[in-house]
Amino acid sequence: MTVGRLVNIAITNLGLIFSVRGRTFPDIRPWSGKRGTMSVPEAVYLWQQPYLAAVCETDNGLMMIRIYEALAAIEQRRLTPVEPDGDEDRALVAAEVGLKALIAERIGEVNG
Amino acid sequence: MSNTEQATGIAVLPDAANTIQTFHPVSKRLLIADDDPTVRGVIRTFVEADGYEVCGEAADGVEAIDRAAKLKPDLILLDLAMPRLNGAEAASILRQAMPKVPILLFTLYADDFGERLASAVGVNVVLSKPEGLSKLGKHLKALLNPKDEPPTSASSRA
Repeated sequence: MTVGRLVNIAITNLGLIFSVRGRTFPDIRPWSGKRGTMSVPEAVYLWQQPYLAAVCETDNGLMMIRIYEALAAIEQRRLTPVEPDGDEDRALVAAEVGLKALIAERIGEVNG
Repeated sequence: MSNTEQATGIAVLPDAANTIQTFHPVSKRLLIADDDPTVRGVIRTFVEADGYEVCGEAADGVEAIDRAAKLKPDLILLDLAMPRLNGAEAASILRQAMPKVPILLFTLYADDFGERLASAVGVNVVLSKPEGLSKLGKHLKALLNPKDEPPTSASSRA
């Protein structure tokens, strides 16, 4: 699975399941050759910002730095109570799963 | 025995080419202690990409002390919040057992865990977790190669 595909899956999951608001912008990319809209994920919770930065990171040299920052932000959030099985709890679990997938892929690239 | 071995009389390792490419003659050995295996994996991948060797991992302070005694690492990376024995407690014991080995502590509480306390327990550098790994490379270089210019950081006393 490529990084691009994983990013697409993560962003799709974020948008559909875990209450990350999607803002709609006009598609002004000149190379796309078509008019339409594209959805950009926006963090609902403060800890989601570094998570989204990790998911959207394309520079392999910065990937582990971004992932670590996201893990630290999640750990920091977990220090205070989160409503069990609430929206934020589910978003946290989803982010942890997403980060583990990113790590597994990155480690696979390094070793393979 | 392969054709090459028969012709030369020298056994050729299957990954010899890769071994030569990835071999780092001055590779320093690090011990990583964090209760989260995911975090350990991230740190391991990061430092290995920088040419360091991870000689062992530990999930808590007790394990860190045990592994450090057996593996004799060149540097120890500790997380502050760990079960059984936290990073600060482990650091104070490790400092007595291995006075010359640099210790780096990751914590969410870098502001609170000030320079005095770090000095008291024998930690060389305290790194804030939210700062992430971005400063780790510079600190590792400074701690393991003291001739290099140390990075400037409020929490660092390296």
